[in-house]
Amino acid sequence: MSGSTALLEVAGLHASYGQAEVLHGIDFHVEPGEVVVILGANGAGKTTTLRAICQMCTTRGSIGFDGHQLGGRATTEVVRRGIAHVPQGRGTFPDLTVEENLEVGAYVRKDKEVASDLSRWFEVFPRLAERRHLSAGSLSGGEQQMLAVARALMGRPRLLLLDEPSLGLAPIIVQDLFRRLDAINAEQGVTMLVVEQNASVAFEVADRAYVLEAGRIALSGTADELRHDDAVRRAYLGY
Amino acid sequence: MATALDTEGINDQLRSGLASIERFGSRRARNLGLLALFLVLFSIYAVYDGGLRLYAQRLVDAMDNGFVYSAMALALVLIYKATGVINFAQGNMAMFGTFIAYVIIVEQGLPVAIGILVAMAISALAAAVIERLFIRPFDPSNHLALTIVTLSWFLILAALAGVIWAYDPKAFPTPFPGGKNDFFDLGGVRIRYESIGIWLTVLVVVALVTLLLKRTKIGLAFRSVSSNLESSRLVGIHIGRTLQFGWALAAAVGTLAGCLIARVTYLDPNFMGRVLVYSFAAATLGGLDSLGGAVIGGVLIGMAETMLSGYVGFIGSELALAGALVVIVVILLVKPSGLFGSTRVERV
Amino acid sequence: MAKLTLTERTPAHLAYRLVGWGLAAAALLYLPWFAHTPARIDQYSQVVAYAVAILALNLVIGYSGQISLGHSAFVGIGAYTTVILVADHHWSYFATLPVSFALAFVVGVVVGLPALRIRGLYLAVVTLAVATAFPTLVLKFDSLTNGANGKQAKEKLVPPSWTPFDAHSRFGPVAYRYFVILAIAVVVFVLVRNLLRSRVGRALIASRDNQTSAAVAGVNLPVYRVLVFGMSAAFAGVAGSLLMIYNPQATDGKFGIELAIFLVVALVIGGVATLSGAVPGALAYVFIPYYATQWTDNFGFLKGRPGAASISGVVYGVLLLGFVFLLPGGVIDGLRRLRARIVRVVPNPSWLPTGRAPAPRPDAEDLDPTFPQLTTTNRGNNP
Repeated sequence: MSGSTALLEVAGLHASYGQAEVLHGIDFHVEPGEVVVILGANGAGKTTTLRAICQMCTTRGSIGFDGHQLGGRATTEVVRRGIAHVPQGRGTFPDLTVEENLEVGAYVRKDKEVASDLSRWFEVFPRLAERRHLSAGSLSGGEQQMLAVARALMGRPRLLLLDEPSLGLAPIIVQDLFRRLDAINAEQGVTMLVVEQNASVAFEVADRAYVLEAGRIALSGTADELRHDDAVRRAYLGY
Repeated sequence: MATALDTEGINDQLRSGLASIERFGSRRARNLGLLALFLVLFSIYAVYDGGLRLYAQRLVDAMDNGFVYSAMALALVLIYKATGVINFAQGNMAMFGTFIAYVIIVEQGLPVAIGILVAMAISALAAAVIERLFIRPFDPSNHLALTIVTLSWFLILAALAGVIWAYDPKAFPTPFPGGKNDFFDLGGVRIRYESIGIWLTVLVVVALVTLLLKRTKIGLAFRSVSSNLESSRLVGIHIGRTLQFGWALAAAVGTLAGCLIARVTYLDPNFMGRVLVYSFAAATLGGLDSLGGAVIGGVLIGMAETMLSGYVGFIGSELALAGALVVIVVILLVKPSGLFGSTRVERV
Repeated sequence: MAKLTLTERTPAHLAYRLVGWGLAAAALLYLPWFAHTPARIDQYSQVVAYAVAILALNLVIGYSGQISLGHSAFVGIGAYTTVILVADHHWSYFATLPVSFALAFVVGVVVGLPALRIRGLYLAVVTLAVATAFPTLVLKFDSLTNGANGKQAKEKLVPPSWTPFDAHSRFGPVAYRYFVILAIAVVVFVLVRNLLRSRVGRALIASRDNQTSAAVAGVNLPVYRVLVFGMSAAFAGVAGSLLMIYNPQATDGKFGIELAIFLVVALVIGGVATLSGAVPGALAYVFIPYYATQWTDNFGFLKGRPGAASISGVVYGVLLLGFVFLLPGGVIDGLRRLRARIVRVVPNPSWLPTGRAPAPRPDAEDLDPTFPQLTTTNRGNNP
């Protein structure tokens, strides 16, 4: 199922915070250019999965990114290898301006194209451009989410991790956000791993999906397969 | 295209400025207004009591101490903003740095300004080492342990200075012309060149620090860490090294503050004790996470100290210190975020 | 190493605890007999008095999770109260104790009231200012305190005729004072222990690590925090009075910021959030400067230097750093770990609902939780 072409290859991943183990050995993979969604209810371990990849909790097992093992490395090193993480709750820098938020997104980059990237993302997100000199803390929830995504993309990551991007946002904003994510994936080929509770909107952008329950993978398959699966429909789509 | 963006930019600045003032809000305007009213009333009383010239002279004298408190408060706020830890060792780090300057200037004979700069550089280096060895091993959220580490260094530096240099007060020179006739007269008010030197030096340092924070990459990293530690990690910022930079910067500023005030207070291992308390008051008044607030707070506290001990008879310098304590307590009780700090201070 | 396993509430366990307490009591009671000079007994008195102060501080730091850098002021308040009342108004030493207690309590509540309503570290700033301000206030009100010359009482506490202590022998008065101080210290220890085991105490400890937790089970936390701070100040005042019983001389220099920080150091060395930690802490506080000054005479470059006595400050600071890094739980924690290798206490199954013994836990007897925040956390890979 997963060949050596996978960008992210996770096998037997256990993750814990202190003594409490949250993930009990999960396997999944992400191919380049894909959008993979991990669905799950509260407490299933979705956020932990992303944090585990970024080495923000104790992990056991294999996390292979582009052939390199991520286990035991510092978060900053994981970031430098090309993974960008949009955390739950946006994680913007409220005291910095919108523009500074984007600038700092490119912190690890040493090339000279940062300014042009900045312009480009301002074109993609005109609302951010309008507020470029305002402090990020004054933005609305939806704008902050866009800012967080744009900041992550400023790093030109190979893999974008998104933690519950729909959380706390109005449905119409969520639709808009996911449409944009879909477009970014299609036009710029950014690989994405999205963890979500909101299954219906997630299925619209996903290529493949996994269902996480109580720290284990319960189901996996293409988005179409899972979308029509009875159990999934009942549990996550509400019908 | 360029011109269009420029006007956009100006519009943005305006809008941002207006938004800031709006957010600044009625509450802050009211606070500042009350403060201004109190100052005006007090000034009227003071002028009535002793005359305009005395009032102006006292104001001028107050600024010397005030700017030094501003500098120390700046150092305190730098570290507090970035780490959430109150560096109790800041005063004694500054004291030790001032002693190093003393050794360089008085015992080695270098010019005063050079000696101070060299001492600042040595302080920065030492602080960087302290951060690396004694601060970084701890989880940044472990505020209590980190505070105890700063307390240890408070002790070690104070005691070490006592062992090395003993407790007899030493005279410390000023880098500015400090002779009896080095002043100019402005309407009967005597303004010493040294005073102007101190004010300008602190203002320049504040400007430099602001530039450093707003225009450089490490400055951006520092402000990011102060704003959101976890997101800073996710962006690839090396937290330890960034904090190290903050510690070094704070130490250098602290040493400068010590050197500037040492001529007046004389130099001994305990000379920064009172300065530290006043600087805490200044930082608290300004808002513990506001750099600009720290500076303004310093000047205000300096003025309060001089004015109160000058005009209110029974308040000598000892009670003024207790007064600073009262200021801290009142602010924490009434408005913990101070004049300019963010309202993210939690209530229990 | 063979481990001895004891089950709670069995005769063997009770015997073990009795032996432990008995040894401690015997040590404390027979200590004066092993002293060669009266001065040595005086030192023991000092240790006990400071142990009370450290215990008082522990109430705030160890069990409420706040830092107080101002307890030197409360000790000073108690000390000056006692010495002024005895010297100027001819009160008996015993009568001054309740006054010290009450006065220090009131000041403690006043200081704690504002600062405890906000994030813990602000208390440190406020108490630091209190500690710095106290000596200056002593100097300011010199008509009462005799300013920089210090206040002395000419009559020390002497044993009355109905006690077995001979008021005219070399050791009699000194030993009497030691036992008086010891008796009062024991009372304070028992009071503190009961306070911590009360509903209030347990609620405080439970909320210690989560400062934004809502009021726990009907206990009005902010009020109790302030009250506990007041009690802590009051006990520190008593410690100050005890110091005057040992030696009725009070100067502004003795009760300044140095004492405040040394108390924190002694607390960490002894063991935060432990009752018995006050003893090793106080031993460290009294004997390190004593031996440090003797020691500096042996060190060539320190000999004869005017500031050499400050070397004890360096020793303290280094010790504090060492303990925070290596043994955050202090000496008591170290001793407990050693003891745990030999003796293990497990709960008694007979009074559990299932009647079955649970899986063995590391140390069931450990009633005083070690202060969790003081450990160097392993953050995994992140610097």
